[in-house]
Amino acid sequence: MLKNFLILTFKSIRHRTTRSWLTILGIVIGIMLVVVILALSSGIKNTIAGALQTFGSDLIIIFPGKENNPIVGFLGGQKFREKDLLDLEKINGVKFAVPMGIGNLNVEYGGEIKSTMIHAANWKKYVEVLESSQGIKLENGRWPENDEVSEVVFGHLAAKALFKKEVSVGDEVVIKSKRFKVVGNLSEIGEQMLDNVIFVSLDMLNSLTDSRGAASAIVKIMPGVNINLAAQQIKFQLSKQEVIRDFSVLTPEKADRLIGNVLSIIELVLIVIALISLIVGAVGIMNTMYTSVLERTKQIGIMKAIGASRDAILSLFLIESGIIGLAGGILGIIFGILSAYIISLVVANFGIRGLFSFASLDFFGLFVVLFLTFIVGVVSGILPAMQASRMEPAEALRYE
Amino acid sequence: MQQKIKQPKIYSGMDQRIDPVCGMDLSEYTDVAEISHQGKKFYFCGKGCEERFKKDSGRFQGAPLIKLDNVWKIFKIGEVETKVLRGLDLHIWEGDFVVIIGASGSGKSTALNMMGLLDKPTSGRIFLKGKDVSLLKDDERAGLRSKTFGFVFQQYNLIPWLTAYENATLPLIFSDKKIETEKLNVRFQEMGLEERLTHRPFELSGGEQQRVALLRALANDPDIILGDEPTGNLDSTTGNKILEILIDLNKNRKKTLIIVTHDADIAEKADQIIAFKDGNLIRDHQTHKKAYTE
Repeated sequence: MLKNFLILTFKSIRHRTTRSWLTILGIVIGIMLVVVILALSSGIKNTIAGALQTFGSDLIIIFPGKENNPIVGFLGGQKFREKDLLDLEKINGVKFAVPMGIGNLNVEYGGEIKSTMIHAANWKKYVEVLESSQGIKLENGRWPENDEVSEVVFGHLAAKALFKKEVSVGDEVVIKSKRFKVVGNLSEIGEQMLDNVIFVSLDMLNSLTDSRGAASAIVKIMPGVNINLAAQQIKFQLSKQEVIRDFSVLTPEKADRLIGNVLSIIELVLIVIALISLIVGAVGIMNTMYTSVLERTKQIGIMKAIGASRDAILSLFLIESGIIGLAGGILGIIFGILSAYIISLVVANFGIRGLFSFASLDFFGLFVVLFLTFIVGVVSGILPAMQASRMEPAEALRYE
Repeated sequence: MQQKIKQPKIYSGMDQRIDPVCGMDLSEYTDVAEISHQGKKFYFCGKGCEERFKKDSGRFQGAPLIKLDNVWKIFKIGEVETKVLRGLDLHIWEGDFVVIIGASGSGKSTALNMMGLLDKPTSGRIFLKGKDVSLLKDDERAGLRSKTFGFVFQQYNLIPWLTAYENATLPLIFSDKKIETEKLNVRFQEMGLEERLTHRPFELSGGEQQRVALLRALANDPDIILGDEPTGNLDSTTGNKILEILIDLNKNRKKTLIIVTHDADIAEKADQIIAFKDGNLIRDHQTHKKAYTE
């Protein structure tokens, strides 16, 4: 019985191909959004968790903007005066402060130009942060001798995969029409975002971008010092400077919590948007089913005349709307994964990697999504299907 | 609404006088002759029914196959009420080939829908083999339709997205019966449709479509075949072929055949002619046959 009903349903869906596909498209968009968002948020979570793990426990990070709104601070482009940051070294328990710059610049190598994330700092101190606090070592070559030389160090992936030809120690790259010698490359950190970075000195970055100051800073504290206490002192001292009013002083623990909170909010908002689009899709199914009940009034009359019960008509329409929902779900998942993959390829060109992760889309996750779309389909088909099943056959047969 | 239309019958002090053959209520008429037959009194609407009765009186004394008892059907569109059937009384006897004639709008198709349980009366009762079926639930009526009735329509009414074969077997799906392929193939051959199995309705001629519709009507081997102008859309040669098949089903396979038509030639071949006017029967149907056919 069910098999025959399925065949009947497929035939009737195929009969109205364009409309069926357009309805399915409505659901596809909703599910696609859900999949992309799930992959995006789990990718970002992974990346940040990984970054925080490599972040040393004796480091404090400072950046402009309020703590509860770190993204605005980063994007705002506000900069500290280097001197204000270096003055933090006078605080008891602070070993040293490293003013940091971050930029996204075009790097040319072997005739290829790639937009790449650049981290910049004072070499001497930054090497210590990298080596002793973060456990990041050089794989080949050496660190630049001082901040004035035109030398760069490549992250592991940046050297291997950024350009078609692998970058090796001794090669030359051009950053913003200035030649740099590659003097070393890092061993693998295991974190895409950090592995894809190119390192220069802060002075170099500032001269390249024709700017001054530091976008953020890393403070290394001495062993045995209470990190939270140190953070408070840093905050107090920084509040005296007049360049930047709102700034954040984050210990690794606090950063973890903060980013987690922000991410959950973003995730929630995105999921709500996706659900709204799913509801729009559901309304689309309902609309299609109502139209198709109207369109097929006569056929409903015929089927009832030749013995179809209310339940049979109800089932036919519910199966149809369920299948439309399910088809939308399946295609939505496929296109969702596909578009997340394509987006990740595109943004990788701009030096952003590890943006998507499909870890949260295991079989159970996919099953839940498919079940959801089937239910959405069935539920939006209920009212039209009931209307169809209640028709008096003679009345339906008269309909032209 | 029920109150307004349920008009009690006036018997003016006399017994109810029902024509046993066609079921017409003659109580209101004063010119109906009383005819004694085997010691009982009978009343007839006209010569036709009287002659049929006298030929085989035993046949008309049990419960009719279908009986309509004071059936009213009122369509209400906005404020306008149209009384399509007005207290219709009607008998259909098993094995009969019944032709229903009448001007358009006289209620003959609506009456056919009532008999086939496609429609519910506004008031009145419908009996099938002596059982009151007017109060059955939707699904019980659907079950009865699939077992007892086969419908053939003027517009063929095939499902456009299904093939000839699928259309013909559709009733089996709804009655959850197994499709016996071999038996079906023979039937398709009998109808000359063996090369049309996978064609869809728009690829078939009118005559072919109607034959598929006939196969569909016969799928559950029903006792009663109802045709609403089944030859109305066909040229006379094709129409005659369809009619031959229908009459053959009546004569040789003992199916009760009820056809609504305008065609005098069809009426000619019927066992019983029923003429409609203004939602009720006309007395002496046989003599009215000319007036309502072309």
